[in-house]
Amino acid sequence: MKAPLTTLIAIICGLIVFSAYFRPFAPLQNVSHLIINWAVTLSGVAMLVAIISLLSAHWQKIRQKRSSDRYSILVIFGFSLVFLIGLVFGGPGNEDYQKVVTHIIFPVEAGLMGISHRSDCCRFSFISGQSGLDDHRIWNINYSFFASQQWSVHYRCGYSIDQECSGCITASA
Amino acid sequence: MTSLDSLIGLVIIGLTTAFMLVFTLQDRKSRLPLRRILAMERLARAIGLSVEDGRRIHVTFGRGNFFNSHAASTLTNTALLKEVLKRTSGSDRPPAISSGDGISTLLAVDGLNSAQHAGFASERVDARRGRLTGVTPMSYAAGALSALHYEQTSMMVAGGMLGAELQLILDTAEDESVKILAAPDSPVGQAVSFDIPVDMLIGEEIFALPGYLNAGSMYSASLLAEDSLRWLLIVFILLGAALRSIGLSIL
Repeated sequence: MKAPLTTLIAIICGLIVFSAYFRPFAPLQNVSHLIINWAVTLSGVAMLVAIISLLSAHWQKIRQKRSSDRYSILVIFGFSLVFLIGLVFGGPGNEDYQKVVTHIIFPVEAGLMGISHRSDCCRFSFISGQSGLDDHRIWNINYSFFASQQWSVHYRCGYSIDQECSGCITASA
Repeated sequence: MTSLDSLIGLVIIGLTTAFMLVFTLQDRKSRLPLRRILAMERLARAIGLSVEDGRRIHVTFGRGNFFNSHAASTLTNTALLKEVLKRTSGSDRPPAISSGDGISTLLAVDGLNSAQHAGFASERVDARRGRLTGVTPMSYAAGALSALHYEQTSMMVAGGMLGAELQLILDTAEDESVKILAAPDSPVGQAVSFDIPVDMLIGEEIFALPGYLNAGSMYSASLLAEDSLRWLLIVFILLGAALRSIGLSIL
């Protein structure tokens, strides 16, 4: 917490950027731009360090003797796979690579959001009873949640999408 | 930016600094009065209980980039983390931190390391205690969920840039009986938090977190400085309206 030199550097950089924002003085603005560019580069490096930390955390979770986390294997495997595909296709700027990644990431993320749809279903059913929204609109709202889960199975109660769980029936009643 | 805008900006910053210095000195003489916020009281109590139970407090920083408007909430979270580390110094399990951004991850890890050097954290700090959980919204949320299930977490403070993915975290916290304080700085995150009965902070309240946890006089002073500026703005608006109505204009 007490690092006078680094704190001093941070304060000076902050004051330069701050002064350049309010006073249009060319030399000051040049230095300010330089500092901002350095900061952007450093933020990229920080992300790299953080990703290494992420992998390290999951590696430690796999290696821990008590209650080893098997899902961490999937994280490291998925990361390595995406990384290798990126190398093969030539990096994130490649159109094919973007297609591959987005066609996996978007459905998976939508599916993840759909995991909690049971409670949403209950809530919207409750809202329909309270607010007097017509069935068509409520159906549309519910459908947007259901559609996000393509192989929909209720996360907690285990009912499939074409069945009504008791929680939903109780809430709508 | 015109020279007049620059001047107004500098005056506002000068006034803020002056208010903060005055209120800091005042706070050191006698504690500044702050209005009651139940969520803050429950947070302070939950931190104490977590130490007694031998469980962990988890602070999640959100996905805010440090180079945009979310930097303020990241800094607030950093100040909060330092205070939580101090208060849980006697705990068997020091707090864990997760983030969705590289810089805030490094800030968090630095906070943990500093706490260990200062003797606040007994457990060895490793990558699992301060980590990036994911770089996209859903991967970030999915990574944060494991903290609720596996890491003996008694309470999670979810602050910073959090959007719809907060729903997943809140829902899982409800299932796992983990208390949660939601302090998102985005309207989407705040709307999502309203949907689930959790403690939440709205709007500027998120910046009051360190002040309410007594992290330092400067934090309490900043709240009063903000209120003073607000009153000053009201006076200027009324004054401007009155002058304009009699045919005079200031700017």
